[in-house]
Amino acid sequence: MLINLTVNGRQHTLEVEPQERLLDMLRQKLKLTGAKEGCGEGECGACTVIMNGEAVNSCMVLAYQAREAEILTIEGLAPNGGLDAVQHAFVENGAVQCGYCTPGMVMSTKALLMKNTNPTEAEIKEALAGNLCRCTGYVNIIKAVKAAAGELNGG
Amino acid sequence: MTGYRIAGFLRLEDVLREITQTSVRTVFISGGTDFINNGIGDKAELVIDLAQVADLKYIKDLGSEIRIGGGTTFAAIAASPIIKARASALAQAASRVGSVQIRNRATIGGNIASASPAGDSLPVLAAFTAGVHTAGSQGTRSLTLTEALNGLQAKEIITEVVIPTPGESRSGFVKIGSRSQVTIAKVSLAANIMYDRSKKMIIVGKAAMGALGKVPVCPLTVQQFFSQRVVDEHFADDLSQLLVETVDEMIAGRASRPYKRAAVKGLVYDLAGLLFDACENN
Repeated sequence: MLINLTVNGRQHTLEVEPQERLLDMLRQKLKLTGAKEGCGEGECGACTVIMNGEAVNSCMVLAYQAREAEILTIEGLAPNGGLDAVQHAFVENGAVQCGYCTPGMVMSTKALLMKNTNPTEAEIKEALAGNLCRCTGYVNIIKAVKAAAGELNGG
Repeated sequence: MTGYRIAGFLRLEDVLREITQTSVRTVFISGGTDFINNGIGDKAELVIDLAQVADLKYIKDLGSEIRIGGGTTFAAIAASPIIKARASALAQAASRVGSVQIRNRATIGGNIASASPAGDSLPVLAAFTAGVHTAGSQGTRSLTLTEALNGLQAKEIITEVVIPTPGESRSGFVKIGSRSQVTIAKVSLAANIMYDRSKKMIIVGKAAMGALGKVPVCPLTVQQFFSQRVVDEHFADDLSQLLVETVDEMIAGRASRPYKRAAVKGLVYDLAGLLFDACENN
């Protein structure tokens, strides 16, 4: 069936299967491979995208459920080839090692900062609790989120 | 991949019309956080998406009760000033469901319909003696929480959860799992009490334990214990003893019993702290 939705500011009309997940639609139909499949059951957050302003696990949303939705993926953060403040902060603070979890971490951070530009450390940890990283130990990720918030607040 | 068809609606009346007219095996998806993992659509011919049904998403304070639409997300419940003020245990439970991503999608109706013994909202709803309203191809029904958890009819959806709030009560929710966050409860505990601050006495109250059985367990001994109970230095020890006895009774012979009887003691101390902070400071 056909659905209409907006992804990274671009409107699409796509043919989707009833069983198709949002993650599969993004990766396979739109070739937006930033969102990753990790656990496939809502534990790891590697597939996190922002749907209508809220972070969601795209492995647990059917593509059909995204009809008329606005989706933001990591590819949409800096459409002109630069880096978004969050991406920049992750690079500057060594918050990326293998990188597999990074798009999800960045999108959860983005969703947090869209609502709260000055989060406490506890709020940052809560916002990222659904994103697992097996490399960094999280210290530099937390540091990066604080740096991104600082950047958004004028440095 | 299975072969179901999917349909979605924006209004409840359109959902009800569809399920009345269709004769095929039908299941529902709302937030979807259990749907894909649990293979709920595997045997269905039709899946109806409730996630965009606007008239299932509300929180209303009617004074003597709070009404929550079945499609209300845990993120909305956790952030609701009504729930925080009048049923704080539910706000606490909602804020501990999964991760931010899960809470942004998962709904209270879905939590009941999935009927996981570990469902975080369930002991809270039991402690408040909440009711569940449903609608389906056979019409509407008003159910107790236990009735709803024991199985909905085919093509029946949870439209509303009703939380009685006859007076000013204090409530709390605590759970323990294998992680501090994003964790499935191994044991959970909720209580709702009416408290007389001047006498430092509980007038009446009810507690419910989750993840001990198919439905939350509300020990009668705890209701009796709460009745006219002065809060003294023995309060938490006495309450934990009653709950340990409940664990012993409910899961006698199970391998998890030693863990759960120890865990519940800790939960009682956490809950007592939450409750009496609320009693003395609000």
